[in-house]
Amino acid sequence: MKPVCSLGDMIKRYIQMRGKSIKEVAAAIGIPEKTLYDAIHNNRISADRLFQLSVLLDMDLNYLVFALGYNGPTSAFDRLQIVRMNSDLRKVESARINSSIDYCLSSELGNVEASARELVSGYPLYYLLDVLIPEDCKILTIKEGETEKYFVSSPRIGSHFQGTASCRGRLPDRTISGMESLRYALICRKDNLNEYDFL
Amino acid sequence: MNTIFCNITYMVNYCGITTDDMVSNSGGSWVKKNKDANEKYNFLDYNGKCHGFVLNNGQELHIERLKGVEDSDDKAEDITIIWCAKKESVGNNVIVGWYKHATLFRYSKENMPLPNVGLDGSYYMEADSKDCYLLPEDQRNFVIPRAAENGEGKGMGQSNIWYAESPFAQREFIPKVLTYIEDYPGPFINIVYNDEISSECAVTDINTDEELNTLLESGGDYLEQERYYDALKVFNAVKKETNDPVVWFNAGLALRGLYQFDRAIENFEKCAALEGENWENLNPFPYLYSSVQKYADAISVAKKLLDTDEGKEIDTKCELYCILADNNYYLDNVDEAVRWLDRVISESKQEDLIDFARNTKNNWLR
Repeated sequence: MKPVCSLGDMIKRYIQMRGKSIKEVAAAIGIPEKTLYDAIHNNRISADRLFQLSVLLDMDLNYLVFALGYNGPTSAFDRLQIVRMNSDLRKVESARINSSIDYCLSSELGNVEASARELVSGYPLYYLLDVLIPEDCKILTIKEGETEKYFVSSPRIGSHFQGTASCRGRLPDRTISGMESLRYALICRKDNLNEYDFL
Repeated sequence: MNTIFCNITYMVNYCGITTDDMVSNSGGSWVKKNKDANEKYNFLDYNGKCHGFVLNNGQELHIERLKGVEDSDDKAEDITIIWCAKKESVGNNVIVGWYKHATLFRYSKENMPLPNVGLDGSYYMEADSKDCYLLPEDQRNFVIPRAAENGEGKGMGQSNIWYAESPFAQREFIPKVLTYIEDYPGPFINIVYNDEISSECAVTDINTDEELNTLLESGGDYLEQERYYDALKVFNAVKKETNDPVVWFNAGLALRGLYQFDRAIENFEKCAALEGENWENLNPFPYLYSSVQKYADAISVAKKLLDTDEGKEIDTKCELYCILADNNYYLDNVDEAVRWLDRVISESKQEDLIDFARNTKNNWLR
């Protein structure tokens, strides 16, 4: 998966989210402010430092594995369920993404398809879905060749199909493709609808 | 030839619910509540066929009401199906499209959705997609009368299916409708992935490596954005210039995304022939073969995948066992199917999969 951003950028986001400054964080872990600043901006963070920061900033390291693109291999048979970001990070990120959505919808004159394309040219699709899709939905991905495909499954969508052994326990009975889910999310934003109307 | 009328919820394309094509509120209480309708795929070209659904009261369609069909028949063939829906702007039920030479099943059939291949849904009617015609919205003006207003036998009643057996229907109304559909010159808005459409190219000439690379990049982007037809046109163009197996593989992905499974298989097979069989290029085959009922081929590929290094990882291995179980079951090799389920039960670490395999085994042996 394409990384959402660098580790340094992600740490910056957590620092902002926790309402702290680099100076305060540096003091808390006992290093000079410039050292921490350089580490973050040059994306050079040692494992020790990362663990220190993760405790101090309550960073979700499992989520970081996905957000930074270290999720491991996927294939048609190794479907991966993406670890969702926790709700406090989602709150911060949704402000950022919703503002991008509003900009795209306005510059594309409300055209959902064009806005969706514009958004995925700027952000990884799974990250947009992670921010926009209700928390109780699952986001799954498979990779075939160089192509990654995303699916969203919701506990609110059922299936008529009883299933076979091959279907069971892998892709949920029924899913909506990632791009289509993104379009739904854009419509919800555009028309002030509840996201659960679709998912 | 028999003709029947089926009333469905109003949609534009009937190729699935999309942000551009939601089900209308005129489709009955279930449709309203669920914002869903089984007829949503009625004009989707699904590997050369369209599958039609109409909400029916009861378990079966009374196909014996059609001329020449017996009580014991499970299906009726060569039927003309006229699809009608309530168009809000007209305020009446209008013809939205039709199937010619369709097969009508007494009991609903189900698509077999497999991971990443195929769709979930049931249907009563099937026709070659080339015999299915969907009108543009501005051409949906032919009103189908209601029996409540015109009298019994002179229009659709409460049921969503009108067998149109009355003398009025047979002598006057059906001939009028058939003349209308025969005389209608087009256009139609359903896409039929015939040879011509499926081999269309995004560009006619590629002159430089730079152009080729730019095209390939755009094809990859289209795939990720699920713009499968755009992707297909790009890879069709590139295939004329290069024999790179990746291009055939990507064309296969695009065709699979368009539900053109037979053509997708041809492209994946070409990739495997060019590059040799390996884990990556064999990946798409098991589910694709199952979806076109080539169960023996699905078994053969699943066994090859089991022999690869990647196929030895436990969850992957159990998924391949499941594929082997299912496809043997479809071939009526129940003992062999159960043998693969037993391997799932003994080797899997996933409790829910083990429970499911146990239940499936009991059902199959019952």
